[in-house]
Amino acid sequence: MKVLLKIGIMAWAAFLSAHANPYVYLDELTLELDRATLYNGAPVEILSQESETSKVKIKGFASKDEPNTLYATPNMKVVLAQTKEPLHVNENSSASLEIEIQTSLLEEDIESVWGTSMDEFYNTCTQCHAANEPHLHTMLEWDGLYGSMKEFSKPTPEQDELILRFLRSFSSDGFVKFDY
Amino acid sequence: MSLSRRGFIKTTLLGSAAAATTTASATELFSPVKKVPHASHFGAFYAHVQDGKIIDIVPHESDHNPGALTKALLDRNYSNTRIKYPYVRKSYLEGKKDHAKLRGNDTFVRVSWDEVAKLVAEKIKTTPMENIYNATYSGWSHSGAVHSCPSLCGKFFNTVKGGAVGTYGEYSNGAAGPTNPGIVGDMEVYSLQTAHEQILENTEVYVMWGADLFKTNKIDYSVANRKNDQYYHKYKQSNIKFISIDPIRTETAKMFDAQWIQIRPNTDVALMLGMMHHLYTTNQYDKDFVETHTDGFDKFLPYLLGKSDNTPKTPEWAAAITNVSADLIKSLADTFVKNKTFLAGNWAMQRAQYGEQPDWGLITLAAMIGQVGTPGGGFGFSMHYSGGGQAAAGKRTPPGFAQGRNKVRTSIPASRISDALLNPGKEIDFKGNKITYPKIDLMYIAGCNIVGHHPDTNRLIEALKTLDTFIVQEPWWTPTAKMGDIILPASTTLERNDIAYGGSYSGDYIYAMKKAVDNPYEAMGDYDIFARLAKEFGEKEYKRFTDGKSELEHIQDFYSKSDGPSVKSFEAFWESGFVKFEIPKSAYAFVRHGDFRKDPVANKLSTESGKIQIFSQKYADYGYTHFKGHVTWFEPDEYLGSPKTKEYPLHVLSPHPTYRLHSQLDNVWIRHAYKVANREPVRINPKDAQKYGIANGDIVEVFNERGSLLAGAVVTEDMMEGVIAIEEGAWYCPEDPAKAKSRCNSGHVNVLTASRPSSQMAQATTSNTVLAGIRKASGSLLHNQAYSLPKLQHA
Repeated sequence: MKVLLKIGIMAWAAFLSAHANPYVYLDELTLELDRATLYNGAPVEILSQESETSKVKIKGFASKDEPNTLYATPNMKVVLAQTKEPLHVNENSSASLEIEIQTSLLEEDIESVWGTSMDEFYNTCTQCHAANEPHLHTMLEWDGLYGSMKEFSKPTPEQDELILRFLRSFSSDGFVKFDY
Repeated sequence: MSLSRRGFIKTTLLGSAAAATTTASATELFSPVKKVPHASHFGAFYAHVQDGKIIDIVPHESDHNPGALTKALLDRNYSNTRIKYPYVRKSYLEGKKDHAKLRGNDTFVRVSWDEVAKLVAEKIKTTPMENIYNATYSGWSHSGAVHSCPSLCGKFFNTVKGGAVGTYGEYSNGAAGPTNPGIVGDMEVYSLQTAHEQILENTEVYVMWGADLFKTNKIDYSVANRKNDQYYHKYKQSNIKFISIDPIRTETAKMFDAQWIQIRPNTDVALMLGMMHHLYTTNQYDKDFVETHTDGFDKFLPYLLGKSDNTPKTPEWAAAITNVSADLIKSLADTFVKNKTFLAGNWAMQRAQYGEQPDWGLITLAAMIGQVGTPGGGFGFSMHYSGGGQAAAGKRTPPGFAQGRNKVRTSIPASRISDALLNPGKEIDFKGNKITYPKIDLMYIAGCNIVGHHPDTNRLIEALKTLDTFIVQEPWWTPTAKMGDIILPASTTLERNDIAYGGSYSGDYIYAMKKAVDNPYEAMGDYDIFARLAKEFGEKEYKRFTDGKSELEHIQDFYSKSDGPSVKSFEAFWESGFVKFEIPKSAYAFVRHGDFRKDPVANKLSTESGKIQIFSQKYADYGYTHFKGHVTWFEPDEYLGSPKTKEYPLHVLSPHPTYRLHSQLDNVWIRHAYKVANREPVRINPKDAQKYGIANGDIVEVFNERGSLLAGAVVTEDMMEGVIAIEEGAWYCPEDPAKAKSRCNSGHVNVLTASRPSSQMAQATTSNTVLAGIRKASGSLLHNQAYSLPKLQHA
C-alpha cells in the first residue's frame, strides 16, 4: 500500500513538474528581440511549441502612463519585458505580451534561471551576517532593508540590479514561489 | 615618485632601522623590537614584539583618541583565562545519560585535536540539519574578515551539512530594525548619518535622546578611529544647545553641559506624544511637511487628541507617566520647533517592552517639527554608533566569506532562543506571520558569549540544559565556554593573519591584521578550526570550504576585491599595514533624507505611500494587540508607574559598558580600575542609597523574581532617583553552579532582565524593562570566580 502511495505521489509530482510554466532563461539580464526586450526570469505560458521556436504569452501588469513596460506584479517593481509597441492595458492594470522565442531559452528549473542572481545575493549579503531568506519580506521591505545594508557591501551597479531583482521576485509578494 | 618593489622594501627597512635607532633600549641591541601592524574593534595599532612576545600596544595614526581599551589587548592575549587545549566535558565524554544536568558544573577533560574533530564531526553528521542551531551571532568577536566567526560558521554548516537553523535579527536593534523600514523605508539604525560638518554649521539644538555619543563611539563594528572625539571638541566650542533626555546623566551630557531631562525609563513614547499634542494644539507643527512628506496623519490624529480612546495625549497626561513636568514638555517642544533641532535617537529605548514604538514616535515627532532632511535638523538613530556622523570615503572595502545558501528555512528571532529551546513546536507571531520553533539538539557557537548577551540568564541556563550537545569555539573561558560540552580553543587575532577595514561609516582605511606572535598552546585560528572540521566530512567538503586557498591567499583575494589596489599593491599594503582612502569633499555635505526632502516624488521612500508612514495600513492589518497602525503608548509590565514597584521599587537599566565591548575585556586589568570589590558597579542615586541604607563601596544584592546578583554600589547624582544602572557584560559567576537561580557573584545584569518579547511584531529583546529591589549584602561572601578556570583534567 505504502509503495503504491509513493508511486502515486511521484507520478503526480512528475505530472506537475511536466506542466510547470517555464521561465525565460538568459545568459544576460536582458535579450533584445524584434518586438520587445525580454528579461531573465520572466514566467511564460507556452501557446505553441516547435523544436526551434515557441510562441509564448507573458502575463503581467502595466500602467497607462508606462504602456511599453510589462511588470510581474501590480506594484510595478519587477520588469518582465519592454515592448516596442504599447501594450493593451486592462482596467485592472493587467496586460500581456505574446511573442516568439527560441525554445532553448525556456527553462523550468528555478535554480538554473535565477542561479546567477542567487549567487550574487548570497555572496554579497552573507559576508557580514547570515542572509534573511527572500520570502521573509515583501518587496517594499526588501527595498528598505537592502537599501540600508548595501552601503556596507557596495555592490557594483550590475550586482545591485541582479540582487534587488532577485529579492523582489522571491519576496513574499513576489511572483516566484520557490521551495528550498 | 615611483619606487620599485625592491626599493620600497629597502626604504621601509631603512625607515624601520632609523626608527629603531632613535627608540632602541639596551635590550633591543640583542633582541630587536618588531612593530607588527594590527587592528581591532578598539582601534588599529602596532604590536611591539620582542623575543616572540608582545611587550606593548602602540596606537596607529588613524586612532584619533587612543585609550586603555586598545592597550588592554596585550593583557587579554596573555590572560589566565585562555583556553589552551581542546576539552570535552567529563560526563558528556563518558556518555552519561543525565550529562546535560551537569552542564556548567563539571570537569573538562583534555583531548587531542584529532579526537575532538572526529567527535564534533560525528555529532554533526548524525544530527539532522533542522535540529542544529548555528548560534554564532553577529561579528563583534573581532574585526577580521578571514577568521570572521559568523561567516565561517555559516559557510561551514552550509558546506558540510546543507545548512542549520540560524538567528533572525539581532539584539541591538531587534525591535526597531524590522519595524522602521515600514515607517521610513530604511532600517535607519545603521544608515549613514548627517555629516558632523552639517551639524556644526546648522544645528542650534542637539537632543541626545538617550544617546551617549562619547562612550559608545569608543568602539566600532569594524575598526574604531575615534574621529568623533575630534568633532566633540568642536561641538563643545559651538553655540549648539545640548539637551539630554535620559535617566542617566551621561559622560557626554556632562561634557557638553547638556540640559538633563530626567525621564522615567520606558516612557519616552509618552513624552513624544505629549510634545506632539502640544505642537498640534498650539498650531506650531509643520503642516506643509506633514502634507507633502508623510502619510496617514489624519488617522493618527484621533488617537493623539484622544478621540479614539478618550485619552488626549496632553503634556499633562505625559507628565504623569514620564516624571517630566507638563511645562517642561511644552517648553521643550517649543524649543525644538523654533530652532534648527537635531534629534539623536538611541537603541536602548527600543530594547524594551513595546520597543517597536519609540523610533516611530521620534520619527513622527520629527515629521511634525518638519526639519527632516534639512542640514542640521531632523533625526538620526546612529550618531552614537561606530563613528556615526563621519563622512564616507565611498570606497569598496575588503569583503568577507560568502556563507552560501542555507537550506534550513527556519530561524529563531534573536531574543527568543531560550523560549525556542524550552518549547520546540511552539508557534509565535512574528511580523504578520507565524514561526514554529524547531527542536534543537545540537548548538554550535563560535566567538560569542550567549550567556553574556542573552536576557534572563537563569532561563537560558535551563534552556541550554535541554541540548544534547553544545559546542563552543573560543579563545577564553567565558561563561559560555564554561557551559559547553566540547570546547575548541581558538587563537587570538594577534596569533594569525587577517584583513579589516574601518571605520564602519568612514570606510577610509584598510588594515592588515598581521600575526604578531605564535600561539604557545594548541589553539588554532577560527578559519583553520572550521577547515579542520570540514576535512572530517571529506576532501570535497574541505575544498569547498577553503576554496583551495590558504589564509594569506584569502587575504589577498579580499584585498583584490576592494579599492585598495588603486592605492597600493597588495605587497605594499601588507608591508606597510594599511591603505588610506581620501574622503571626497561632497561627503562632508551629506544630509540624511536630504534628497527625499527636496523631491519626495522622485526620491520616494520604500514605504506604502513613498512617504513617512505616520499611519501604516499594513501594520494595522496585522491586528496585534500591542502594535497598531501608528505610534501608540502601551504601559509596560515593569516600570516606575506599575504596581509591581511595591515589590521591586527600582528600575534597572543595563547600558553599554564604559570600559568593555559587551563582555569583551572583562578579563583584563582595566576592571581593577572601576569594579567595586571585584564586582560590577551598580550606580544609584544618593536618596535611594539612603533609603536602602547603602553607602558608596558597599557590596549590595540586587534581586527580582528572575534572579539576584552581587554588585558594588556607586552612589552618584548622575542617576535619576528610582533608577539604577548596571552595565551589561560582566562575566556571569553563579555562587553555586549546581543550584538553579544561584546568585551571581560578579554582577552580571542579565540574571535580572526578562526574556519577554517586545511584542508580537518584532519579538525583540526587552532587557531595559526591569524592576528590582536592592539591599546591602550580608553574611560571608565568596570570592568572585568569574575569571577563574573551570575544573580541568589533563589525562
